[in-house]
Amino acid sequence: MALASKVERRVEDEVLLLSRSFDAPPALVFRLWAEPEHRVRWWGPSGMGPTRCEVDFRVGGVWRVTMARADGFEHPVHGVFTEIDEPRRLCFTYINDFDGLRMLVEMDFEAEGEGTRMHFRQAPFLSVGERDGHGYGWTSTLSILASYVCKVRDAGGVVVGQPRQPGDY
Amino acid sequence: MQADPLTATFAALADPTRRAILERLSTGEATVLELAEPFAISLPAISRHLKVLEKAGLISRGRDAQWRPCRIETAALEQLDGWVGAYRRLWQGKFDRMDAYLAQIQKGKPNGPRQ
Repeated sequence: MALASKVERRVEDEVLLLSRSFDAPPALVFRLWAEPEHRVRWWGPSGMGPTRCEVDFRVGGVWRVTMARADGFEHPVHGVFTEIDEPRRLCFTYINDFDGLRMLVEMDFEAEGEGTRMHFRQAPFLSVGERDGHGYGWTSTLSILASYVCKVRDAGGVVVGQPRQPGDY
Repeated sequence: MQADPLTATFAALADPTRRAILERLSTGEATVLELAEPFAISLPAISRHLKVLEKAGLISRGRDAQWRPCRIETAALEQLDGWVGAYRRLWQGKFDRMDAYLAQIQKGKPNGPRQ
């Protein structure tokens, strides 16, 4: 048998880091995570829409989102808010319902000119494959959020458009 | 989503870190801290791996003890062995044929027909 010490895995393999800019101030971008009426209008990823979205926006509060494809496939996730420092920092646990395994998402929002730079960290992943799959999903979702941010900004901060539907791109 | 036991076992073993954890536990109980020690990964990551192993029934964890020591559970491995056992005749058959051939060679008939 191979020795346990020979298993080479690096801490960075288990961490997903993303950075994203948004064309609106942190105060606005932050609210779009807090309010489910906003969330259902940007939570993806591309090809999926939320069939369930609940947000109890307080430390210790539970959030639940079910992402669904047009063919009926559903991917439910949930978590608990662990840190809310509006509009600077937002942290929550992230649990795939199918395996119940807990990860932590940490987001920091910084003013960047007229806009926002958001630093995103999720860990720990069990494999590079799992991490990269989530990386693809979040990148897609954050792109949808980035365009929704502009719509809300132009509308003066109110909810805009219709909730995303399963299969929406 | 509930996978059948064999699928859960194979999925749990399809990761080198989890196989190494199991290998360590084959020598005796260990705490999460002790299990994490040889790996360059975080404690939360080790905990996630342990949950996968626990769900697959490959390990159990102490309920009362403060450090919840982990121990290996062999039932799932025995089931795996049973699954492999169904295929064992395939290579055992090869050994049987080799035995027959070796017997022929010893009788001085190396080119004789194979059994």
